[in-house]
Amino acid sequence: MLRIARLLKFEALIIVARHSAEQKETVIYLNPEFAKRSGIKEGDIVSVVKGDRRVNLKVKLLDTAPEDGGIIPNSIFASYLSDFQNFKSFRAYIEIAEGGESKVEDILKIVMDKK
Amino acid sequence: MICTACSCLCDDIELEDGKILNACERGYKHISEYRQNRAKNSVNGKELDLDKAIEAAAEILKSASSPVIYGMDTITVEAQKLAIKIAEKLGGYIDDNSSFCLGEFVEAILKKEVPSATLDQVRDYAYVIIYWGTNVYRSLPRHMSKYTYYPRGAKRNRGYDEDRFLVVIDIRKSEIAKLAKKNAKFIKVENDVELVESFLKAVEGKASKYDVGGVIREMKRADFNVVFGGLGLKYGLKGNYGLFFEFIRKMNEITPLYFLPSGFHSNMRGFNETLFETVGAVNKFSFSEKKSDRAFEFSELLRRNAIDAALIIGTDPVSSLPYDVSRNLMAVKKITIDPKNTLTASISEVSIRSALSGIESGGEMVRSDGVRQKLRPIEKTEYDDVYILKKILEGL
Repeated sequence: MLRIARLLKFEALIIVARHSAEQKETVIYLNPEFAKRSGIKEGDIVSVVKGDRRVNLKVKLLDTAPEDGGIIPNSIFASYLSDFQNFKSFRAYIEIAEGGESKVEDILKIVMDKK
Repeated sequence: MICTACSCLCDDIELEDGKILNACERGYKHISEYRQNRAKNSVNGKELDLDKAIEAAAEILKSASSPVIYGMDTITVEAQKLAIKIAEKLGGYIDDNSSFCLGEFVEAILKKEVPSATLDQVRDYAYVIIYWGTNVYRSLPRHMSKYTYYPRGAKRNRGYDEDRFLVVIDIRKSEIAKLAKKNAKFIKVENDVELVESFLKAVEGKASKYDVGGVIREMKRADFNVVFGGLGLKYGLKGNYGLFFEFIRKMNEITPLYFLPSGFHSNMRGFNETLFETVGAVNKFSFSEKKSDRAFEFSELLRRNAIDAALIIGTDPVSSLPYDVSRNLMAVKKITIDPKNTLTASISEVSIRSALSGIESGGEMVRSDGVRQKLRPIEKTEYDDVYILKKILEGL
């Protein structure tokens, strides 16, 4: 069945913060109310898009996430999207992803390709 | 043993019958998984013995025209001193994570621009405890239970719901913000600079955007109050540190208010203090120009392609620095000294495996409040950071 959420993208506040289960986990913690409004469920894979950069992360729900977005734990995924002007929080778009979760190796390859 | 997972350096960790006692989730992971994902000694991806890797590292540094030493926040003070000597001998740059972490806050404390205190004093005396832009539940899990809010202190012995007043300032209702119920206040901040201005106005009895008059009144009731500032505060201030420090000083005209950075890597303060004692600056220092400057921040050097070799010690810039900066690492010859096979180690020309400070090697570290701790390792290896850095220094 076609999910309307698949056709939409939502602007979100993303906070980058330390979280106990971090580094390797490809996760975004979304506020449950924000997720509900956006038609996103726990376990969905979403693309977080900022400018021309995109990472695919698995959704977990967390009620301490910002009301209008989510938290990405400190990791190469967060660093790939952020910059020093918006190091610990930034605005990005979230949409249901087409493919699977991003892998550390994918981002590392992009970094290395800039040689 | 002393846990080196974060800058709390908790000194009551015990190992009993294979169990790790008293550690938080972060500390437990740090100690129980220390044998996992270890770095290997390698040169250009080829595994070699330690001496060969050290030789290759010295060669890269000697032939570099613009080298930098970076990281050092998870190694001991003894090792930090050697790293500083290497930078000095090379006439290179030296910087640590504090240049994008809480270096400005530590610098203000070391220069005595703001009054500070120890965590033990906070436990014993603090009434109003403000956490600003930091969620210690995740970053420093035992901060509140061991040092600040929950313990009964010498002068605060009636329990947190009577003898403490908790203030949490954040852009979201974090785990610790949820604790702000009785004798407490949560301030949801949209603009940290405006909030500082509100505090300054409230001190003068004027109305302001944020309702902070109640917090000021509570602080006036006590002879010891404290603000813990985190990265949320640092980046929220957008460079207006002077305004924030003015607020701390103004408050001290009417009631004692101390300031502490809320925490960072295990020995970031140790690096800041060691470099400060050596050259009078806490970070981003050039030994050739003999000064500290924003242009000498590791991230700025990378952005400007101003370096050709980097000795990266105990940190993982590929993972922690924004992509706009980390991508320029590829144009630099990288030597990584780290116990773990980090992403940076995995792409370095030279990778050197070191011991994990506090677990496999001893030495001294400095807690976030400036208290020095002697590490009590559970194992001992000869090949620790001190050994490796000494050998590199000899090889230059």
